[in-house]
Order: sequence, then structure tokens, then C-alpha cells
Amino acid sequence: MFNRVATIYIASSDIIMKIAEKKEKEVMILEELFYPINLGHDTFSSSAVTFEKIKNLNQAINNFKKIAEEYQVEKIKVFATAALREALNKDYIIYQIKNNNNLNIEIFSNVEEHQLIYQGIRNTNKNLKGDNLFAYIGTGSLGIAVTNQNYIVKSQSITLGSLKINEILKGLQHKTDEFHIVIDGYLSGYIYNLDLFIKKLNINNFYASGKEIELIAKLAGITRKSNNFNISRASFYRLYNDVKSKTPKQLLEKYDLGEAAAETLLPSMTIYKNLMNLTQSSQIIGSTVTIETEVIRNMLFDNRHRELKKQSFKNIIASSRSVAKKYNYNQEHAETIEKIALDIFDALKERFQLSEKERVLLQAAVILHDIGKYMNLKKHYEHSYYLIRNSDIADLNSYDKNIIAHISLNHSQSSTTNLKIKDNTLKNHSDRVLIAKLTAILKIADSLDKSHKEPFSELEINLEENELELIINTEKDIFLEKWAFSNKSRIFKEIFGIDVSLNKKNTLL
Amino acid sequence: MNFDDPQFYFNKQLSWLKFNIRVLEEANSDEEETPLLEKLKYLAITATNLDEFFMVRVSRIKDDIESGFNEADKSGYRPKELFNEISKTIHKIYNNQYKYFNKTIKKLETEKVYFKKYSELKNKEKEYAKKYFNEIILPVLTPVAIDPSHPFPLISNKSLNLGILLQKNEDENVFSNIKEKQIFSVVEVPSNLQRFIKLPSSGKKNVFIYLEDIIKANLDQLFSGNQIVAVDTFRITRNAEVILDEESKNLLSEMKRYVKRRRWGFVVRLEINSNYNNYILNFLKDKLNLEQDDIYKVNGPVNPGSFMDFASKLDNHEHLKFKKIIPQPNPKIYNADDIFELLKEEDVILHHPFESFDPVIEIVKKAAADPKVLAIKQSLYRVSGNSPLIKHLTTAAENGKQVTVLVELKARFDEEQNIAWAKKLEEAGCHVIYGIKGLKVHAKALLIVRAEKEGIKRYVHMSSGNYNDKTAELYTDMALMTSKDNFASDIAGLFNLLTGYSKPPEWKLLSVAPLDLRDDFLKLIEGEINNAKNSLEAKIIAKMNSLVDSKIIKKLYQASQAGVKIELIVRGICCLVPGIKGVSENITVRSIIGKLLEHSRIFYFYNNNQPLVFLSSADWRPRNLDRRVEISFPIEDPEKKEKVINVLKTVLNDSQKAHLLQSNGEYKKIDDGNNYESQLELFEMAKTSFQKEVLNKQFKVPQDYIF
Repeated sequence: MFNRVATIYIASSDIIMKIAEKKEKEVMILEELFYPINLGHDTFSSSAVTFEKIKNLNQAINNFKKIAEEYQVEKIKVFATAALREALNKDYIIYQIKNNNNLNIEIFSNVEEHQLIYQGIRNTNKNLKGDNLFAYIGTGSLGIAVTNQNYIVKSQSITLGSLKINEILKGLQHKTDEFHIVIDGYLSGYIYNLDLFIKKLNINNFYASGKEIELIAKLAGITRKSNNFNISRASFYRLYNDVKSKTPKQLLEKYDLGEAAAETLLPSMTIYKNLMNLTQSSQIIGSTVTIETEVIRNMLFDNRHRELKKQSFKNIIASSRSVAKKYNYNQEHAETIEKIALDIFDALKERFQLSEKERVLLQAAVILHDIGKYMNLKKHYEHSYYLIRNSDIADLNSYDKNIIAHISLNHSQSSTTNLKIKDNTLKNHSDRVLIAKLTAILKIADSLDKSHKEPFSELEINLEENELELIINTEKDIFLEKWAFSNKSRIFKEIFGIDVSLNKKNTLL
Repeated sequence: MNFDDPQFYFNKQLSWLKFNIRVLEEANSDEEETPLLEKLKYLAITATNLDEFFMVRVSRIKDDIESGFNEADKSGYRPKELFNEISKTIHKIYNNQYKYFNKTIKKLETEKVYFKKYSELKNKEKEYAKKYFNEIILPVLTPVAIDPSHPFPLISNKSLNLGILLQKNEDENVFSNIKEKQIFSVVEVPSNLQRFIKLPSSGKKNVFIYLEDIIKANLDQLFSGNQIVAVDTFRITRNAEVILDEESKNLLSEMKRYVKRRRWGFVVRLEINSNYNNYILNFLKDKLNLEQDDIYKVNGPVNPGSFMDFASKLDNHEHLKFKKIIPQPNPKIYNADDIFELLKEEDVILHHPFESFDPVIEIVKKAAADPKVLAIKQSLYRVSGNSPLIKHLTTAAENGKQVTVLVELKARFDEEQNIAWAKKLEEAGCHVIYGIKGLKVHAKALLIVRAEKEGIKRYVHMSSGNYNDKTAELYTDMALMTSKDNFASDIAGLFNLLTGYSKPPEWKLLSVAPLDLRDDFLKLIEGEINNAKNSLEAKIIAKMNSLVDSKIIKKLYQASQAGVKIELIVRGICCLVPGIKGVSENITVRSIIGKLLEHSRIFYFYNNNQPLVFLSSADWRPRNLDRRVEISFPIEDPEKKEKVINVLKTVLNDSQKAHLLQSNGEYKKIDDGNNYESQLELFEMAKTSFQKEVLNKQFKVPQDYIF
């Protein structure tokens, strides 16, 4: 837990430093610095950041570091989103920054970026009711989440931000008077899928965040109420109708905007408009939450961090169920083995030092491991693997998702020796062990419900020094389970180094 | 209405000359009002003011004429017309200047202060002068002869010189290589020697002789054997507007070259004693490429600017000086054990020189030694020669604090001094920055970052005046000391902008030129216009040094038309024409020319009885609003606001030193018989406020304090 920290955010059009301090229960921002370097322009139009800009980036970070050191901050955290994430030369940039400034750059995935924003929106809007739609427009990505009350039940990340749309469609702008229709058309492909899901719900609150929302509010003449701007449909459309027919140059003159803002205003408004129209919301609730302040919050408030973690675990599970539902999973079966798997996990937890996070990954894997059957029963684990990897699961970063996907992939393997690792980023010993551990528990739990008919009502678990004994209290015959169990317990023995046995409770005693 | 019509603008340069005339007239007032030695000082100020005017303004106009530029300015003058008008005015100023000067010198004799000619010296005095010449002056003299093989020497800007016409002696001669019979020679009067030499005298007499008179009388020692036909004292003024290459990688060394270059700009003025030799004058005129208008023949010593600190040469003549205004301690600060603790509780407004400048130096000194202080940032525009601030800042850096100093190298005519201490700061480990290309940093701000038990606390000082302990005794300025977070983060943001580390943040309280300062002022005026249109009371009081900006002037005319009552206190240039029916009849303009130089910039907007009050480093002129980094900051606390408003009210009541600007451009002294002098009144107020506090709190009176 820190008292004074600095964050340096390598965003698409600026490098932003915030120096902050804990003041009682609040975050006190001491300084904010913005150094304009349009990395997004390079990354989104030519896939790599130019030499000149890397030099400037180095210098800006060096200067920022000096100011942060003036305040004797305990920690400087440097992070980046799309502008570096999508740059082909990002590894060299990270290396140079490390070399010149001795600072590590953490690159947030789309999902992590969006989660921070959702965290902020939920935090500044306690007591969310019913179904809500969150949207965040980054320069390089768009994040959309649906929450039921406070829980995220669906989230989607699209690599399409305001600046990115602009870079992609720029060439068309001068060819048409109705550029907004081009953007609408371009967006419709993305919106369609979302439409199917959202239309089923009755969403009354649309929360929008991102750099442009404050500008939109300002241009619409809306003043801030605590952390939000409430922009009514009418005032939004009044502005939109004026903006849509103007070129960036005209916008720049009429509204006295910066060049970058003038270029991203229309794309952003078009995105918000399309999303708003998926809901019944009478207004856009513009949130002023930023990634930096959420990162700072997490750095300064550990307790809060823990609470948020809990919240985020709930989101992972809720969202996993939502994904599984989409692929018609067998809910009953899943719920049964979920309970068994978690009971086994909890029994082993202390002895084998398993973490809360691993518990959540296991739970999610249990929920998702069979979704591949939706595609084809044959080699369904392969299908599960790619479906999981390509689904948006709220609050799950790509590493964790990858782990879950691999657990699902391996849930039909019989031994650790033939554990399949498809992704090179998981070649570490510890990654393999983690996958093996959770796969082992999943396999045992899965075997206990092989008939998918809920054959027993109670499970007793005894952890002896050299053996984990599972005792089922059932009247029914468990022949099928025992057969499956012996086949599926090998990985468990190999990874945990103890025996595992399945017995029927002696009801005569 | 077309507010661009020249009839709505006074000419900037002529308005400035009017200001200088007002200063000069102080030397012509009653002795009761202006004692003799102060008269000399006003004469000196008028002279040095004119020096600068020639070096910059006249040079620019001459440049315009030279380059064929012939467009009329805002006030309708074309360059040539303007030059003629200026020249005419300045010749008049010279006449009065020397009239008043000679009158004052004569009057000083009744006080036993004499300026003697060499021929009038008594034997003993002459002996002393001769000895002084041989031992002190002669070793540093360098006569230069001019002939076809020796081109006209480079006579440096503002130096005092003797032009000597010699008749060559054919027999033995140092000039044997020169063919001509008449030789012209120049001897520079050494600028590093005292201009006034005090001669030993009996009793309480103070007898002085001018340095150049001693040299004149002993010239034969320099030109042995040659006959001296004539000697004249002259001084030239050069164009100082040479171009600074701001693109230069090393601004510090470019600035050094720039200052050197300035010594040799073209000549714009020649001053010469009135009983000159025709040959000498024509020779100079020809060689220096001068017109008749550029020549000023003076009936007295050339360059009365030297009289600036003449008073310091006299002991026991206090009755010939103004009663001293001793800066009072600010009661709140005086009463506090720890200034940081005080500022945590409340803001402090300082009004110099009625209140002492010491707290500003003290807080930096304290910060330099305070282990809790992490960083100090300060902008320095003009500091005094041996500034204690520089010392404390270097100490702070040596004590491991992060010290960032913005040094404005471009502060005109202070460049050399600035270079010297910028180097000193750098050597001590301060992070010295030289501002932004193309902009002078004129904002005056200090930020101290302190790590306290409760976390970071930042202390800010912002002022209308420079961090200069010397001028803080002579210039009226107002400053705010505060620890409010919004000010602190704005000032931190300002420094990040100046270091080039960040683009401008969204200011919470500040307005910053050249970004939004003018717009913010226009909006404030607009606010009053709207109130007036809604039949609400509307009023503006603005105090500044100069009012030139036409965008603001136009807005003020609109305001006047809407019925806003506008009282302007503009010490120097004012291009706004007050009292035009239907345009500016609701506007009054007054100029205070007092013992102290009016320097504070204070802006008041009635705002429907919720007054908005600002202090600023900026005047309402384009150079401040477009070409400089300036700040304006609000005074928010009601009690402090009251203090500032009270200053404005006091100044508006002045009936002794105030001049009201008429719509014909003339300034008329307010003479209502009340003899209310605002500067003295403000001093009394500071005194009373401190004494009241002393009596109430019964704390110790400082030892060196005089009631």
C-alpha cells in the first residue's frame, strides 16, 4: 500500500503523468502533466512508432520522472494501452524506456483497460439498478459491458477506437458530404451482434466514458454533477446534428477545438449514438472516470483493491456463465461439478497453498470447459479452447483466459506428460503446473458426474497425509463414476503427489 | 460604431512622453512637495527613461522610416509624422529638464552644495583635482585621433565622451604621421569612475566638480605640444533593438553576443553641450549619420541620469529628501511563529513597499534549510544586483532540494546581470531554465513543495512585481501568499509548461497569457456589460501601468456605452480616450505620479455586488497579453478582497499626486485642496494596522523598528 505514487500513462495522443497522494480516504491529485505525442497516429496508420516519437517519448518520460522524484513518490507506474499494444515495435520501445529511464512499461490489454474503467464507473455510481450498459471509447478500442445491478454479465472489447476509426476511414472523409453515414455503416457490423444480446434486455441507463465525453458534454452546454454529466437524448442529438455535417476543420473553427479533438469528435459521437439507440435510456450518463485515476486508486488503496478483486471475481463468474449460456451449456451438470470442484479445491487449498485467484480460474474453467460441444462433440475440447480464447469475459485478462482455455483443452488428457500447450506465452514451468493442477481437480469433479444425472447428494472429502479420499453418500450404483474416476485421477496423482480414491459411504454403519 | 477610428486612440509613444513629462514636472513642484534632492532624482529618472525610449521606440520608428514603411498606426500617425511629433516634444522636454535642473542646482547652493567649474576652484581644490587627475583618471584615459587612416572610432552606446579639436604642432608630435593640420580626437570619460568628484572643503560646504571638467582642464597632458582649439562633451544613443537568435542552441551564450551587438547599433541621438564648437558638431553629425532633429544641445551637464544616486553622496541632508517610507511588517506574519503554519490557516496579502518584502525572502531562506521541503520553483525576471534570493536558492540546491529557477534572460537591459547569476545558480545545481522561445516570462511565482505529516503541502507566492528586494522598496506591488491546493496545482502546472514538460493544464484559478488572459478579461468586462444591460449596477476599476490593447479598449468603450462605470488608474501610457460623448463618457483615467512608482496591477469587477478581484503581472497591452507569459489570479477570501479593494479606493481618492486624463490627451492635476496623497495614506494604514496588532497582542516590537 503506497501513500504517494505517480502514474505515467502512454496514451494515444498524450503522455499523461499524474502524481497523487492518499488524503484520508480520497485520492488527491497533486500534479497532472500532459505531453503531446501522437503515438496513436503512427500505430494506427503505419503499425509502428517512428524513431522521432520514441525519442520524444523517452525525453517526456525522463522529464516526468524528474517531477515525480521531486515529490519523492514511492512508486512510478508506467503503463500503455492501444497505442503501444498494437505497435509492432513495442518490445523495442519497452526496452529503450527501461534502458534510459529504468522504468518498466506495463501494457494493458483491451480488457484490462476496459475493466479499469468499469471499475471506476461502478465505484462512482454505487447502487446501480437493473440492467445497465457501459461504454468506453479509447482511442484504439471500444469496450462495452452490460451489468445487472453491480455485476458485469457481458462484456465485449472491440479494437476500434475514435482515433482508429478515423485513421481507417480518413481517406473517405473528403469524398463524401455525409461522412457520418460512412461511420454508421462501418459500425453496423460491430453493433449487430451486440444488438441481438442487448435488445433482449431492458436497459435504462447508458453510461459513457472516454476522452471525448467531457468535450461532448461541454459542447452540449452540460455542467458536471459530481462525477457525471447527464446529457439528454435531445441535447445529444442537437449537437450531433450540427457536428455530423461538418469537417474537422469546420469543427475546429466553430467550437475552438484542438486538431485531435476535432478529428475524433464525430466518430465518437457516432459510436455513442449507435449504442444509446440499443437502449431505452433517455440520456447518456457521461462518466469522467479515467484509467489513470483507477490505477492510482488501486495503488493507494490496497483494501479497496481486495474488495474490488472480490467484485471482479464475481464478474468473472457471472460473465463466464453468460458466455456458457450462449453456447447452450448444460447448466445443471456445470453447477454440480462446480460445487464438487470447489469443495475439492478448498480441501487442498491450505496444504498445497492454492490462491483465491486459482479458485476463480477453476470455477470459470468448470463452467466453460464443455462449451465446445456447441460446435461439435468430436474433439469438443479443441472447440472449447478457441471459443474461450475468443470470448470476452469481464475482468479476465488475456493470461487468465489463456489458462482457462488450456484447462478446457486438457480436460480430456490422461497424463501430465501429454499436457497440450498451444500458446507459446505459457511455456513457463509455473504456467504448466497451474494448468495441470486445475485440470486435475476439474477432471476428478467431472468424473463424479459422468452420467450427468446427479447421482449423489453429498460428498465427503478426507485429506489424509498420502491420500485424498472422496466418499459419496448415495443409494445408487456408482460403477460408472468409479470407472471414470480411475481413468481421470492420474494427472491428480502426478501433480499433487498423493493418491486419490473414490468410495461409497457405508450406509450400514 | 466603428471603434477602429483613429480618433478613439491616443498614440502610444506620445502618451508615453506625456507620462515622462508628468515625472519631469515633479521636479518643478514646490520644494515642500518635492525636496531638492528628490527633484534631482526625478530629473535623472526622466533622463534615463528617455535613454530607453530612444534606444527602443525611436529606433523602431527610424527603422520603419528607413525601410519605407508608411502605414498609419492605430492612432492615425504615419512613421514620419510621428517621428516629427516625438522629436518636437522631446526637444521641449529637454528645455524644461535643463531649466528645472539649473534652478535646482542653484537652489542647492543655499544648502551649501556647490557645483564648481574648474576655473572657479580655489588653489587647494585645484590641487586636489590635479592630483586626482594624475593618479586616478589619467591611467585609464585613451585618446583616439581620427583622420583618413584612422576611421571614426566605435563610440559605445550611452558613454560620455569629449570631442576635441586640435591644432597640430609641426615640431614634435605624437601625431607626426597625420598630414592634416586640424585633428579631431575623442576621449571617453571613464564610466567606472564617479561622475561627481567631491573636493575637500572647509566647514559644512559640499563642493563638487564633474569628472569631465577635470579631464577637460588637463587635456594638455594628453596632447602635449598640440594646441587644443575646442572641447565639447557629447553622448550618443544607439538602436538597442538588435535581433536575438532565439533558435540558438545555447541561449546563454547567444545572449552574451546579443548584448555586445547592442553596443554598436545605429545612432539615434546625439547630446552635446549647448556652447559647442561648430566644427566638432558638424564632424560628429557627419560621421554618425545624424539629422538635425537627432541633435540635442543641452544647457548643463550632458546626461543628468547620473544624478540618480547623487543624494547618497551627501551626509546630513535628510531634510532635502522625502520622508522615508519604512516598510512595515505584515502583522499576521509578524505574529506567526511559523509562516508555513500561518499559510495553512489563511492566505496573506502583501502590499509593498508599505509592507515589507522580507517575508518573501524569508520564506525562501526558511525553505532552503527546512528538511521537510522537497522542491522550490521560482520565476525570476529582474532581481537585484546582490540578491539574497539567489543566495538562498543556491543554498537550497546545495542542501539537496530540487530547485527549478526560470531565469528570463530577455528582461531588457538587465541581460548581462541575468547571465551572471543564471550561471551561478547552475553551478550550485539548480535546474535553470530560460523560458519559452518567443515569449518573455513575466509572471512572478514561487512554489515550495513540502512533505508534512499529513502529506504534501505546497506554498505559493504570486505577485504583480518582481522578486527584487531593492525595487520592492520603491515600487508599489501586491502579492498573495497561499497554500490553497488549487493555486498550488495551477502554479505547478505553470512551471511544467515553462520547463516544456507539459502542455497547459486546465487552469483551476489562474488566467495565463498568452493563452487565455485577454479572453478572460474580455469575459469579465462582458459580464459587467450584461449586468448594465439588465439595469443592474455595473462597475470596473482597473489599475495598471499601461493601457494599450485595442481589443480591451474597444470592449471598455462598449461597456461605457452600456452604462458600466469604469475607473482606470493607469500610471504610464494610456491609448484609451476618456470622456467622449456616447463612447467613453463613463470612463475616467487617472495617473498617479508619486514618490513610489505605481506598479501594482489590480482588477475589480462589481459583478452585481459579488465583487471579483484579481491581481496580475500583466498590463492591458498586447506585449503582455500576446508576447509574454503572464498570470492573473483571483483574491477569493472576503477579508483579503476587502484589503485589495480598499487600496483601489484609496488610490482613487488621491488629490495630490493624481492627474486626470482629458479627452484632448492632456493630463490635469486634481487640485481639490484636500492634499490627499494616497501613497502616504496607504503607508499610514500599514503602520496603523501593524501598531494595532502590536498593542493588541503585546508582542515584541522589532529592535530596529521606528514608529
